[in-house]
Amino acid sequence: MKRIGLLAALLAGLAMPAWAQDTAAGEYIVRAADCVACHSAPGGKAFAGGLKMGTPLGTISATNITPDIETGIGSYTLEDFDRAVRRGIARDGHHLYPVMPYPSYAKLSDADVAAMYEYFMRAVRPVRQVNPPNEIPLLLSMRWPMAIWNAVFTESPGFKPDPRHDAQWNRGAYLVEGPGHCGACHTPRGWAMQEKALGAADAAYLAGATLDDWSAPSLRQNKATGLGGWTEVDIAAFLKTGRNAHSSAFGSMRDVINNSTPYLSDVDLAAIAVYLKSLPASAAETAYSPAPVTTNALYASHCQSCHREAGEGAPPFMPPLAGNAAVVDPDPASLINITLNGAAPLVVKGRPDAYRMPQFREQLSNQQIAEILSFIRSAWGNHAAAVPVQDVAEQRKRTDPASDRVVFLRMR
Amino acid sequence: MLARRNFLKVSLLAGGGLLLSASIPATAKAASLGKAGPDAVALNAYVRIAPDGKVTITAKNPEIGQGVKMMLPMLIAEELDADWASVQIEQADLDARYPGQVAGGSTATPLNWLPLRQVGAAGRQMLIGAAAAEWSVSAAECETAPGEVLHKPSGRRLSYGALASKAAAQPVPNLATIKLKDPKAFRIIGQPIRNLEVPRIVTGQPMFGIDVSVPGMLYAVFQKCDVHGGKLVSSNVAEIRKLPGVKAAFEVKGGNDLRGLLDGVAVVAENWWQANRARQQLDIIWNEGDIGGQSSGDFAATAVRMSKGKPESILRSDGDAKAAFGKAAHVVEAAYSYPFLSHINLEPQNCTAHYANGKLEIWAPTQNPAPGAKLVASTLGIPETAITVHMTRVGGGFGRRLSNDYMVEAAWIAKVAGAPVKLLWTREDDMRHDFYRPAGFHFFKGGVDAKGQLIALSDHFVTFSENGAIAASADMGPAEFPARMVENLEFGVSMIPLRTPTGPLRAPRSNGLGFAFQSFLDELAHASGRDPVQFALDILGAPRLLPDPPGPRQGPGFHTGRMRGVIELAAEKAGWGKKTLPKGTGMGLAYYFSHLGYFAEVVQASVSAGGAITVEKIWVAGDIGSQIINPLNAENQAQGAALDGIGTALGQGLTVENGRIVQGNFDSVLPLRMRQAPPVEVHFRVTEFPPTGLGEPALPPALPALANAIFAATGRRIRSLPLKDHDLSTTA
Amino acid sequence: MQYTITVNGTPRSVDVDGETPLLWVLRDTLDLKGTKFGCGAAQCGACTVHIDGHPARACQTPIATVGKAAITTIEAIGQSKIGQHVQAAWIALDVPQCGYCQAGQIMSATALLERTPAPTDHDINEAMSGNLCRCATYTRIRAAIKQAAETVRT
Ligand code: FES
Ligand code: FES
Repeated sequence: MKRIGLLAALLAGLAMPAWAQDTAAGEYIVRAADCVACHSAPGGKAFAGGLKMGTPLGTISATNITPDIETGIGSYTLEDFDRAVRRGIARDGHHLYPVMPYPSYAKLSDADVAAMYEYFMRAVRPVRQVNPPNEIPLLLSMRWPMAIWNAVFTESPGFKPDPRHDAQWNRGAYLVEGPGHCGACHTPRGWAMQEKALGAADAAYLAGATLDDWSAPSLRQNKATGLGGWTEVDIAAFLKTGRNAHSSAFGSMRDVINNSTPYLSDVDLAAIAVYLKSLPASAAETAYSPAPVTTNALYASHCQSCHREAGEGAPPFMPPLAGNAAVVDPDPASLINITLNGAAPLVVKGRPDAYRMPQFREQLSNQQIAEILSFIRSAWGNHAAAVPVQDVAEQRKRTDPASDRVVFLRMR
Repeated sequence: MLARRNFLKVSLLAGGGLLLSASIPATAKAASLGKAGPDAVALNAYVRIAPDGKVTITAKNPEIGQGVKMMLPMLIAEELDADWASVQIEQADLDARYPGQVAGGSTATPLNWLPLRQVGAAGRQMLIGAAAAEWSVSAAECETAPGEVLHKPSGRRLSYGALASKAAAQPVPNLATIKLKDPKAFRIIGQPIRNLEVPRIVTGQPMFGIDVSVPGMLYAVFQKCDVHGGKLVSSNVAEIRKLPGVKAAFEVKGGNDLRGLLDGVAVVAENWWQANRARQQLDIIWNEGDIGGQSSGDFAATAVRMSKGKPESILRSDGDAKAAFGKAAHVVEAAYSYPFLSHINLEPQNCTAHYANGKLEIWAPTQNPAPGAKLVASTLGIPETAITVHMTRVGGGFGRRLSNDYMVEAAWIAKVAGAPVKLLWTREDDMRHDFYRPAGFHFFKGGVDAKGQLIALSDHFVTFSENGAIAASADMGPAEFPARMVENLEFGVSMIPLRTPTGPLRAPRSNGLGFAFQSFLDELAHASGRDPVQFALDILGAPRLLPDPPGPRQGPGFHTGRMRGVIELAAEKAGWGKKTLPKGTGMGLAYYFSHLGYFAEVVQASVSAGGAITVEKIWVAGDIGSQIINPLNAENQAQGAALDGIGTALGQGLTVENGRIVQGNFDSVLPLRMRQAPPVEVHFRVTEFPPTGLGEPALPPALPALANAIFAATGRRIRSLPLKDHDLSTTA
Repeated sequence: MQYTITVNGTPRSVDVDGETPLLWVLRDTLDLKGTKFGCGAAQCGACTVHIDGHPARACQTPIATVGKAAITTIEAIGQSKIGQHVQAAWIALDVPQCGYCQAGQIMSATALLERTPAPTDHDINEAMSGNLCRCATYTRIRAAIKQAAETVRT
């Protein structure tokens, strides 16, 4: 009630409280929500939009959310801003595509929305950049179905704390389900591409999903394919540095590491870890246990120098493949993708990583990639299905090599 | 001018012994006339003979793996009749008194073949003179054995060491009239002489530019704009200065010459890793200039558009090609193209420099130190005389290090940093800041008459310009084969403006032109039902010398008989037309004349149902004149060049996107690997022509020979490179 | 961070960031210049050393992960019998051109022969394909490996 009262006061145009004048609070939540990752094009200005996102609907371009009056959100009131962020309705009344994760942002607190607004209006430099048109087939480009979509799948705004859990857990839940919008990638989507679940209560929530040729593993306590083998410290370290003893961030998670989670406080990262560790496994799995070393000639000549003979890697620099959830993910999309295309540099707080995965699309055939990946999915104690050559062939056509060039997205 | 008259000087070494200095010509023309021409330079030391018999010979040219550091001393040692076991070789610094200190164009052999032998012969004559005086006999009665002078009638002998000091007092022979050995008497030239540096290479001794170590040395990296010549607007260099190990970080304002110092940010640290890590955190705003149309896709589209119109200029026009096509029994039209290439020397560009008290000392792996020193002098505003350039062993040249951009960068950074600095590029720097082998597009039309003779050929060559003039190494000569041998022929040229710098790469021009022309000729042979070997011999016709048209690249002409000779030799060794090959396997022939060398190659290759290419074997036949100076090295060079061509054809090609190079490392540009390397048989045809170089000419035929073999194996004609971009699979 | 690693049988202490590749510790800190830099991405093999007898790319070996392992570089490979024979074969057959890749080639070849005393062409392809030779001296590398295998045996 208090929060809503505060928002109402702001909307009424009363004097701003001191905290809102400090855009740091807004910056923090904008970081947590990783707005910059989607609303900036590579090499472009921060928040000026233009990034093309491949979706099952077609290509959608993120919009200019700098405070430019004509081309950005400069003329938005806090109320307009709030409607867009938490309800997915632009100022002119059109419904935003749910690529904008407003079903998650709906859980943002009033105070955080207000802080974000302050930040965008006062700390972000306005950039004049007209939004490019989306490339969506005609039927789907009619925005009216979105209203129906919204009516069906989104809940009312605001995060409802769960009284059965303590404050730390609830803070973690807020960050993950709200601004962090982790479910946008990690929760499977339903028949209308809606996330099947938006909160801890549902077993589908964060159970792993595939989007844009990247399979995001389960963040539940699945022992082999989820975070069952990670400690809270492991989770926090991963979010802070992009790496830990189990894995390294790549694919779409790179955007999260490059722009978002390393900027969160240790207290918040710990809260996220506590929350994620509380999500029960979605499937019964045997925990990973190492098995004897086997070899494969292709693996030996192309992978072993970094990932080592027993797939143990050299963590945290080169991730292990043995016992790595991303390797045994039921959907090998990420594995195929990174092998074909390599990894773009992780940039943790302005510092690129020292080692990165090269691309192999030029050096290895589809058959060879399928062979190597099938091998690593079944070697050293990993148990996952073989990778079909066809999947590699299709992804080869659909995807492009990752650039090794370091891209900085400076928010200011 | 004493030097001009005698071209040779002898002095007594401090502590005894003989020092032989000479002035030798700097151009091929002067060299072939056996005298120092007007471009001869001052005397310089070539040979020292110490009283203990040790013979020290200077190797004046940069060693890039072509074997020149052995080859040049071999020429001297042969005529000196030195005992090879007592010969030591010393790498010269850059010194204006040594002519032609450059590794490029396969020129070391033709330029030095005569003059350096004359130097050795002069030394031998003086040693004989000294012995004859000692024994009071006539010099004519004396002869030499390795390392000593003999007087057979009396059975006396004296070692070179014992004679050296006295020989220094002998009259100086006239180099031009000195008598050389009969090649039949050669004891060193023509022998498989091992490279004396290999023992150091295999034990990891520091010898390359990257290995240079100077007391107090710091390490540097230099970040330039991905778009060549882009201007620096601003950077976060102040933040970089605070990073661990960083000793200095500063912006550099360069000029507009893409071959000189360019804008960038230098980071200098205690070790290279720290410097590079700090540099990765640079956030720079560049002004890239106009990069419109500067993408590979645009180039290809523009080339096709240009091909539909008239060429901007006509390079050559013989007979009436248009009319002849009308009379031809077979007419084939085809478009060929090849991509930009990087040199990818395995040792990335680097240079160490130390500036102190107005003097600059440089250690550089360079193919061409003299222009480097000039560039450094003019950029830093110091006299050339204040600069010393030490030439290190070079981890691969391939033409990249004819440019000295890295040298001027190192010098500038060292001067600003006020400490000795080793600049080292990353692989990505190297691939993205090269002087690229230019891409090229050829729109061919050929006509063959009913008897199977090539009667007409036209090529609209779409190439690139830089600042309005033809881009470096992007031109074609009017004598390009088969010009002069086809009655009706037209070569036209059009140019696409290019912002990416280009330059020579091993067998410049020939490495691309050879692919296009030799593939198209093969296509014509097959289209008219001719055997490619017979078709080639018919084009060449009777053995004769065809003089070059006058122009900047006028050479000694093209000898059809020498080309016929190597084609026949290659075909014979490969068993051309005499073997039945399994399905999916084929042989391809190509031949090419470049850098004074005639080469024909046959490649046998197979293609699997899945599209995998296996190069099974290569036969190389070469004619580089009357003498293979060091057969051990010659074979290595010819094998390496042929395999280089195969590697290039299979896996290399750069993409330009918005004025920058996309690829950065060996994950996307693929040099040949062991598992792809077939056996290479090398055969030389010894002819009566002057010996010539071998660094390059075995490369150009390898690419089209492979493409032609793939046609023979699969019926698929390869009209663009690299092959990795072609799907040759026959299974769905 | 202080690390003590064993290089060519001698413990060496270095003070570098843990992420620093062994390659740069060898070259810049310990002044062992025989191990070469070619790509920094495990693509060329110029930096090949032995770690506990296995060939490894020093450019992809963070110093923090080395621990107590025994590192052998080109400077000391001649101390092993096989290494000595490999070097001798390289000299006898005059393998190198520019020579830049050859330290890495010798390290890989020695490791191959240590495990496979009589390698087939296929064994050689597999063991050596991680080592690029830009000068393409592959014909002689192959011959030298076979010759070394021969001389070790006799
Ligand atoms: S430098 Fe290590 S593999 Fe190339
Ligand atoms: S000898 Fe030059 S790279 Fe191998």
